[in-house]
Amino acid sequence: MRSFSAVFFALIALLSLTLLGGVFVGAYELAPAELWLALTGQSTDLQQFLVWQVRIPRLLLALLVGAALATTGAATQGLFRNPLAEPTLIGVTSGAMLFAAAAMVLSFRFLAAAPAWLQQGAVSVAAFCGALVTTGLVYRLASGRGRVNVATMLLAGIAIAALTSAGTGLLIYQSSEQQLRDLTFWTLGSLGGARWGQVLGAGPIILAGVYFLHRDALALNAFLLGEREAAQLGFRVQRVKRRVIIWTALVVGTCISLTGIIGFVGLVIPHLLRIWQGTDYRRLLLFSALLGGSFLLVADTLARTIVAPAELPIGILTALVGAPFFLWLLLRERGKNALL
Amino acid sequence: MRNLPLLFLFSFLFVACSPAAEPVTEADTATKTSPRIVSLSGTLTELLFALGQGDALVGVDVTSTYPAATAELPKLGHVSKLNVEALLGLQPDLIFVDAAVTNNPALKTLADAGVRVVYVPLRPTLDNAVQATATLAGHLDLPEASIATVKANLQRDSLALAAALQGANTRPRVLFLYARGAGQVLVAGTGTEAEAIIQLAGGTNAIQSFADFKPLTPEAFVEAAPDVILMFSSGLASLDGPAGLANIPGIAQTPAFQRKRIVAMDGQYLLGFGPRAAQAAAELAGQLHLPDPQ
Repeated sequence: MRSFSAVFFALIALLSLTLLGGVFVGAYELAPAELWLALTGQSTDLQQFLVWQVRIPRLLLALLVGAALATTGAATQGLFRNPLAEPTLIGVTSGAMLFAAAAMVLSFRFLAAAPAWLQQGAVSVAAFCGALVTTGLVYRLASGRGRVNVATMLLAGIAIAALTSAGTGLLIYQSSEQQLRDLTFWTLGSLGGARWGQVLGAGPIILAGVYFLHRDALALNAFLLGEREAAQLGFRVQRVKRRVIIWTALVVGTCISLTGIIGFVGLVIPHLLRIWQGTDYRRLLLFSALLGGSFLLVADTLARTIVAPAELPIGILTALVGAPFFLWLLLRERGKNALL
Repeated sequence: MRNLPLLFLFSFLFVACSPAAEPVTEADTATKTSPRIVSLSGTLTELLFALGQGDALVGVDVTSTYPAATAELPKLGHVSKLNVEALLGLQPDLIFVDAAVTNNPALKTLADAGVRVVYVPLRPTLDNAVQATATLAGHLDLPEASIATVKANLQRDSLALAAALQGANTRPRVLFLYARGAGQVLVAGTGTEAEAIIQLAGGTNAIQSFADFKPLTPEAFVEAAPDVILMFSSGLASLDGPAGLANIPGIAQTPAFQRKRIVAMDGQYLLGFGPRAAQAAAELAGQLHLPDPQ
């Protein structure tokens, strides 16, 4: 196993490289010299706007969301002690989906009197609220007598997800052609609407989430032995569980509200790192953030360039790029070691 | 990937043009005789071509399929899924979009970049093209002759429509089927554009119990008892023609299917409500009021 700092700097280098690559390529072709002029504010208004208001905020949002999804994926896998776990399991995604669908389909009936900013951001606000409300519900269902039962939480999460998807189905039945299309695109995710406001709003929440989840890395390591054993090692198990759930809900809710549902990142990135680095959450959470950021940056750069002047939904690309690579790794490592 | 050669062409153009890329200012765009236009609506694209603005178009959305010249233009995908960078790369002065599109973050960004985004109200009426032309004329220098031609054509076709409806003393019940393969068949309810064209063509919508598009049960097909089934040509093709229609449970039992009264028309032509709206209505009216073959 390579040393922590070697891997850390390798991943930082990868991130910087993808970020640099992302600045260079786009549907609007800019020669390096032009790009430099635009970056330093000496080119045309249009090119400066393109680089500073369209391209760079989008790159940063991709980086943040990728980091957030991969880290929370790793943390939930640790919490559930299950390699297939994803934030979906605590109800975040399905809840956000239901509320977002409600905002899209019912918006005209309820929101006519609302202020303009709320009408424009209705889907985002609804998705964020939905993520927190359903996660809260799943959490309440799984907790009793001061403790959270993780197995109950898993099952409650599945039940609530079934219930909310029934609600989403009803809304889809109610929806018009246009609303249905919006909804479908939303479930495939997009970073197309990225602006500075979103980067600055989501940034602190996501960075705080990654930091606080990383602080519980040792506890998650102890969880590998089992909850009782972790408690005997001196970890305050209930508090760790609550913190992981709250931060996951907050961070994933923020991401979904801005970009729609982007699958696969939370599952694949932590596993790639497990195969490469082993399961040590002190490494796994931080490295997931770095690798997840690079991964989504690359995926989004492809999404906005390969079918230009149109745009591919990023959810298609995360699976298209990630799945074959993941399978290749899986087959290569087959039989060598267990996955968790 | 089909657009790759185009993309290359455009990147070449940009490289070729880049030394000359001067700051685009208000004065420049104002003095230009022909602004660069992007249309994000099939109906508006068709209308812009009819108004002689085809050469000014630099990009269209995925619903812009008529006239054939649209195939030569960069396709920008669906309006809910725009690539802001690529759109800016086309350097449009004006973007025309259906006013029904609201809260679109990409269009907001484009407006912030200084592109004039014009929301054109579109309605399912015969004179929609004339109304939309009035909106377009507020932003474009349209030749009087082309406006007159659009109006004259609509009037001529409206007369043809009136003639087709002259002898008609029944209002056949028409069921509009929106099909994307046998598994996905929706039916047009009240308040849809399909209902509007059916009524204009002298028929009634066989469905009165719900609004918008819904899937239908086999029993409801039989109960609707349509005299005519109306479809998009593409929809009928997705079912492998009229024979495949029989595979949808309930359809084979309808009077329309048994009398082989199935009408298929191009989607943009039938429901675009553009400059050919009256022509489409007249053609449909002719189909609806055929003398019964038996």
